[in-house]
Amino acid sequence: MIAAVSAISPSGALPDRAFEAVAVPDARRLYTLALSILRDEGEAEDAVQETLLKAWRSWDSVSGMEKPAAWLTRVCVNHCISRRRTLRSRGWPPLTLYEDATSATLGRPGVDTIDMERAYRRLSLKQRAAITLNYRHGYSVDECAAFMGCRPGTVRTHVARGLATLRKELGDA
Amino acid sequence: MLDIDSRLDTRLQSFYEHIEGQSPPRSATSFEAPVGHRRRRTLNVIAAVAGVAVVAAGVGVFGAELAGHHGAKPPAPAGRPPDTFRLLPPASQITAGLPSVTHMVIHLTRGAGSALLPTFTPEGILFIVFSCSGSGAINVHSTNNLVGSSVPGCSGTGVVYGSTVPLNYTPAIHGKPLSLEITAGPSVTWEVAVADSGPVPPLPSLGATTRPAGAHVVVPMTYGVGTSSLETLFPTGPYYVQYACTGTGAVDISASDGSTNWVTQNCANGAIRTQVAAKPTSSGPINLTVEAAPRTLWEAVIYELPSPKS
Repeated sequence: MIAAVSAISPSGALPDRAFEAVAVPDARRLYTLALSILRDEGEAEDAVQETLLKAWRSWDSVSGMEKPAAWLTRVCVNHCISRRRTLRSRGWPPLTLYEDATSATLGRPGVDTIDMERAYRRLSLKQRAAITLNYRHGYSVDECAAFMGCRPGTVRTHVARGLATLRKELGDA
Repeated sequence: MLDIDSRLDTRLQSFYEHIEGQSPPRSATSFEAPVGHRRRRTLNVIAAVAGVAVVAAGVGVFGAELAGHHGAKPPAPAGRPPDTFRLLPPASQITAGLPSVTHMVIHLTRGAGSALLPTFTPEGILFIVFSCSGSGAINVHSTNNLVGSSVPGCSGTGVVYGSTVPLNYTPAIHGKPLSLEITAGPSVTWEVAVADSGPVPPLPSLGATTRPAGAHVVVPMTYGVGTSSLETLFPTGPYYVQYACTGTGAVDISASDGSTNWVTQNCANGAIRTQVAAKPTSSGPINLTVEAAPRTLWEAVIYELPSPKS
């Protein structure tokens, strides 16, 4: 028997607010966000798992929120930008691993991408988070500030300094 | 608004597209509910019970909903949450690969088991994207069985499947109402979206008349959005790659043997290119990869020409 189905509302809100239906499907988006900030697949995976774990543990309150996705984003971003000490103590992932990937047929980054990767790694995690959220994901400065737990002016500073560093590193300054 | 120059803008976009094109490991997109290592044991037990109750209620409601539709039992017991949640990609991932020139004719729809989607009238190139999770196959096809796409086993790893119905598709489906139907087992959950390019083809035509007489097609016309590979070819001589693109970004075609790398910087106005690759030095297979921005649409065909008679 065939049943008619209804579309998800444009806002993305799902009628069933159970954990499986709301929090977990966001894992891929969170992973991409974390990977953009951390540039380390293992750390990004940890960030997603930590975020989902927090959501699971706080589900009683999170499930009642109007926008659980925003809460998940904030937790994930905060987890990422608080990883500085851990990452520094472990050293940045070696760039050679990334460059090895250029021999792969699929998803091969160009020279520009490798240059950008090098330049991007010069940014602080907060600068990366601010640029990723503001530039790539299109969040307003106020929204970025809410995600990052800082003032809007601080977000603007992170973005401006991050972009300046990128221009300098890429020889565009 | 960000004050960013176009060069850095292009490079940053390309950089983020590369990141977003990376598939996350399965372990990153699944979540196993914790069963131990609780620091605040009492609170956590309460939280866990609450979480279990919420999920169980969700599963119960979902099951009841399914039972209402199918007259069958719910697909999963409502006593405990699943150990591992298998994921579908979020909406942004499902539709991210659709060309910017398209409009949605079936907005993102989520369901389980078999279903009938709303009827629409195709006007242009049709893009059907879907993802599924669960054990079993899924078949997305029109009720008149003129178009369809199937996946034998749903992996649940967030893979987005897509199929394209070109304007010159035969039998003709354009201008007439079309209903898509999903056939799957009740335990298969899925998401689907359908987009249409509209009546004006966004891609220049790469019909057979654009190729020289005697051209022997070695890789048939392939449509794609974003980065993808073409069929493996075993060239016997120089081969020609004819391609068209439209969208906001560039298209970069490269061969696995490193012998070719062609870049079309601007596809905005619908570019057509024909490139010739020299006769390969080795006789092995060659794979061509088309790298393009996620919202850049392209089509490509590879042919060889008969050797000139001496």
